[in-house]
Amino acid sequence: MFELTPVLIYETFIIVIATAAIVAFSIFYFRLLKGYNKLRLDHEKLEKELDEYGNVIAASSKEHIQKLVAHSQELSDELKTQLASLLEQQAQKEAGAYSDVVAKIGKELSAESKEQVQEFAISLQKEVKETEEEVSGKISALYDTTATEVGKMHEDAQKEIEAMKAAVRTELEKHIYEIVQDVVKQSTGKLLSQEDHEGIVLEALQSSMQVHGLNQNV
Amino acid sequence: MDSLTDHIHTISDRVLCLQAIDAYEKKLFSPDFTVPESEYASLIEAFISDKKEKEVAIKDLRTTLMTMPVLRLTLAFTPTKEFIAQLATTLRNTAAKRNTVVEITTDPSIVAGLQLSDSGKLIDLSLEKKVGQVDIGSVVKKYFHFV
Repeated sequence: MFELTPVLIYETFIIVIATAAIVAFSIFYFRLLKGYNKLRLDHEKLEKELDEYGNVIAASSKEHIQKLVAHSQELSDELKTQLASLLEQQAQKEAGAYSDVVAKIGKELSAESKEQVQEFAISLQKEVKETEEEVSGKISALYDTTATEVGKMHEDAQKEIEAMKAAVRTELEKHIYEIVQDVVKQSTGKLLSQEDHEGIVLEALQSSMQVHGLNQNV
Repeated sequence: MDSLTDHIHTISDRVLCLQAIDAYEKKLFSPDFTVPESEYASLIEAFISDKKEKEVAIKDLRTTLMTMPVLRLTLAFTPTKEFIAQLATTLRNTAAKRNTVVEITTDPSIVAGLQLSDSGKLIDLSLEKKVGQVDIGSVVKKYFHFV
């Protein structure tokens, strides 16, 4: 039969608290993963957009250059060449500068994401540590309470055992004399013959006279 | 007279003897009267045959019988006549009280042995008393260590 002992109750409490801690850790871990994934996707999206925008600007710059070159038909070929070269240099410079900006923004974004993830990880670590301490504290308190209660139960059980012993002792003493009497009467009554009885009577008389001096009493 | 009283052990014996004495006394006054035969008839006849004053002798005999001390005995069994005689003789010899008669009661509850009662004093020599003198508590503790 299943018996609810103090040790079993204590162990059940430990298991429940440990299960709750595992569940809490799991929830935090999934939250962390989710947050990280979200940041990563945002970062990728932003990079993509920036790349596209950079391409658009570069394409636009090139278009402008071609237009300028086309509109400057009246100028000499040399001037055209110089102008084209200058404009190209400028365009390259702008594109280079823009790609620097894009790279810088990308770096900043990575750093920011990293920082955010790091902050999140630190925050999570802190929360996990706090939870650990809280759970540990609860387990200690529970252990102390259980130990005290188990000690008290043991003491109560000892007292009950002593009380039961005393009751059994009293009951035995009350009945054992009657039992012995009964057994003696039943056994000797059936076992003693006429001769045995006569012998016992004469022997009792003789010893009584020797010990007590029957002639003084009778 | 001792030879007569030696044959009287119990109260019943005494009653029978007194009845025989009454019969003999009656015969003194009625010679035609026939004394019933009994164990004590011959003893009484032998006692009074050599007495000059038979009436006085009978009277003395009767008085002696009536004043015989009574010892009340309780036994756990029904004794035989022979045992009663043996018991009475033992009591008379050892108790230094001659001419005592015993009144026997049977009580199986005393288990074995006997109880003597004389003038209100009780001497319990029964097995029931011996069992009662045993320290049952110490016996119990010897076998039941948990108490």
